[in-house]
Amino acid sequence: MMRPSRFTIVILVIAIGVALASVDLFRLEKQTLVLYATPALRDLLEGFVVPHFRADFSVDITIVYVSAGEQYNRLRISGAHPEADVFLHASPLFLEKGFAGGYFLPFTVGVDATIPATFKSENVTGGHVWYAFTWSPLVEVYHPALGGPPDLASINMTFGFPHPLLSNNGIYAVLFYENVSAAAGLRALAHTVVQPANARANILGVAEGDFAVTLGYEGVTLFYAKQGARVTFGLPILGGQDYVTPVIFSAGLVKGHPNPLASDFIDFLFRDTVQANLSRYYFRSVLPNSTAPAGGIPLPAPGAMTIDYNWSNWSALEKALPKYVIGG
Amino acid sequence: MVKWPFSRTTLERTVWTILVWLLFGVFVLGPLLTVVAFSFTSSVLSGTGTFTLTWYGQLFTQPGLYGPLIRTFEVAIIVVAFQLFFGTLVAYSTVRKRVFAASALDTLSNITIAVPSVVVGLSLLAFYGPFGPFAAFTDFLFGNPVSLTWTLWILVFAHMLETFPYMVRSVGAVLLKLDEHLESAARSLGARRLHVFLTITLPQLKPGLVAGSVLVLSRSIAEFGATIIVVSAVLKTAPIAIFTQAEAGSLELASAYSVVLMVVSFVAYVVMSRWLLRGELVT
Repeated sequence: MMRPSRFTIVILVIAIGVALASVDLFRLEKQTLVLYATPALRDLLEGFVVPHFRADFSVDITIVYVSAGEQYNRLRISGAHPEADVFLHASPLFLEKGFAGGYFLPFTVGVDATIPATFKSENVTGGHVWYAFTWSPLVEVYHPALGGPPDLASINMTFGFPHPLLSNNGIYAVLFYENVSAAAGLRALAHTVVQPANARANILGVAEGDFAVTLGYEGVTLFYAKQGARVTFGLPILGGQDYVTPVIFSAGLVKGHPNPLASDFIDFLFRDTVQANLSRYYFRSVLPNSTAPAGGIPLPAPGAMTIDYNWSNWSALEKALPKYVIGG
Repeated sequence: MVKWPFSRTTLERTVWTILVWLLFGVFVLGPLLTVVAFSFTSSVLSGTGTFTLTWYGQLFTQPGLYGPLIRTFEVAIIVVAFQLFFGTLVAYSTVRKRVFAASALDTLSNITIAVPSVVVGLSLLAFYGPFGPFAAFTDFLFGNPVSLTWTLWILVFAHMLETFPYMVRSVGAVLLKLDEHLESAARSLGARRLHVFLTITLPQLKPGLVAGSVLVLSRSIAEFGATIIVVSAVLKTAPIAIFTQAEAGSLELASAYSVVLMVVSFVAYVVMSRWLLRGELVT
């Protein structure tokens, strides 16, 4: 019998290798659920949500943590072949904007009736553009040595104004100032040297002494404070008035999403098991009668003014953002 | 007069040896060995690191970490197989002048060596993206624009473009030395062109194919510039993972990835050159 040559064996090995590699790569590409998420949600997602969803649905999940602006741009250059299935963001601005641009699908979650109106978009044909699945109040974060939150109307120390075009944290900071006092916003910007690009970098900026005060998320601040970071926080105070601004972490369904489990994942976020465990990760439930996380600010706070935004008016909200970019 | 105990040649050789090895050590071996050392260090940034195998343990047990390594080798083998066909075809066509403007094609086949790889990535994104000619063409043909952004296809194309010149050059160099009379003789005896190619030309191309494959494999495993522009999160390769880990401050894990890539590339080189060629290595 003729013995196959070394060359033939190599060709066969390569052919088998190519076949196996192709099958695996295509399987991975088709079956993986891709989430675009804010880094602020990292521990909640990786510590609880994703392992439990994976156990229930036996699906590979890849989470991409980059800033909201970068993710939106990544989606825009995808055309009809998006990489992501689900967006999980700290504000609905990019979801509303993306919906207007034709990048997101309307949907309805199973527990729609129990979710308060402030935690979901206005009705559109086919359901809603987004639903908030958790929230956290916007807080004034400062170095403990300051004793208490400095009044933002007369702040005279280094400030960390988060980048408004890259991060949702920056969007909330701009909207807060634009709604309460644009002059105070410009004052804060004048005291800003470093502009953090996401909510985590923002809190770490205070912890590491890059700046003395910032506006951040309670959940992220608590996360670092529990790890020993030297930061403390309170409701933002401006002109002697406390303000409550809910930072709403919202889910959006990408149009043309490749994975059919995308809707199931969003529904999963509203399951009692997930909502009941949010406070373990320093976030708050969107379902009625939720409790504050340990160490969180008890709400409602007496005398505090609550600010909610009409996110469907995203283009007007967005207009103010560029002027809060240093050197922009 | 006291006679110098060493000849001038020996002294010169010694000085040259020290100088060259010193430079080689500082610029080539030093950085690579430092990466190896970091991969076995518990904490580089603390400055008080101890010996550990933790990073390799994590790398080989956590799917999120070893996944990019597997992706890298899967893509590399697809690219090698493609280049064995396509690179050989172009090399044969240009060296044997089987196409019009063969010299121009030969020169252009080097273009991706000259162009920065990140430009190659951007070009692919532009060409195969939703606003590029490929989408317009498919829209014209099928009434549906097809975009390859974030797909496996565009990733493989990026690696193919980046590695293509290495196979063409390796095979082309061997082809230039081949005696065409053997092929002419076979054809004059009635052998068909394909038969001649498969039985006479191809076996003689083995050194070029092997050398080209090693280069393509190594280059694909190491590809970063074009990949970072076109790769999707799901298909992230090891060089992208190294970048991500290094950026996140995990130099140890990034180093462990790097060592695995270095070892695999080196083993591939040794196996393919020694075992397959048995002394026929192209120099």
